[in-house]
Amino acid sequence: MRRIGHEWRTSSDDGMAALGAMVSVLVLLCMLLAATTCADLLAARQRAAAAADVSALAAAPRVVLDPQTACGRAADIASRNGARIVSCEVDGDSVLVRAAVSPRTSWARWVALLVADSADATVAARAQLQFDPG
Amino acid sequence: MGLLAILFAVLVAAWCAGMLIAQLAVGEAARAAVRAAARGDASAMVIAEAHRLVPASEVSMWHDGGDIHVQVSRVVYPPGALQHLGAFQLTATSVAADEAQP
Repeated sequence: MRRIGHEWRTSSDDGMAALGAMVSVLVLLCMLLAATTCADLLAARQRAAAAADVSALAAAPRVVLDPQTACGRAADIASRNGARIVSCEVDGDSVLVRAAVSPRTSWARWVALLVADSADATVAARAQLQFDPG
Repeated sequence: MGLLAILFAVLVAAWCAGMLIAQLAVGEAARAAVRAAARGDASAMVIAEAHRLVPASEVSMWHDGGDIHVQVSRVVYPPGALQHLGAFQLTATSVAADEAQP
């Protein structure tokens, strides 16, 4: 027991205060980890959606003009957007593209694997070239 | 002292979360802008599309063969006492096929 000003504080008081501060910092760190994981997962999904979108748009004219090269063009545009094509199906005059992106951190990949059975964010997009009747 | 440290940690954590959200918004703006550019919209329309999602952003657009690139960037300053850390630049780039040149 020691005297501080006019109060007597015990070592157990100091211990409790230190423990409280440590718990608070630990809770904050956990919240920060959760926030960064969510942001990483959302960013991966966003990049996959963007890549699927522009890949399908790029492939759509090729479906009509040169169907053999449509999926190659989709893969090219997806890779330039940091994604990869997991499937590309030409169906009549439309194309369905699925693009996948891995989260940047291994922790987020592990969480995605646990929650969604896949470490990657996968998004599909369909595009079809429409001719203007005018 | 302990309380001050916790308040400082809360401030840093809140700012980090804000930065993550801002980065997502910049990515979304790049995506929306490149779609507009791929459709063949004028540069002013492409920039307006990015500014709709991130008003304080800089937008650059360039053509590369049959591709069109749009880069959206935004400078973010830390709040209050953390300002001496300097500005951070958030950037996102999207690439699409230029539909005007199939």
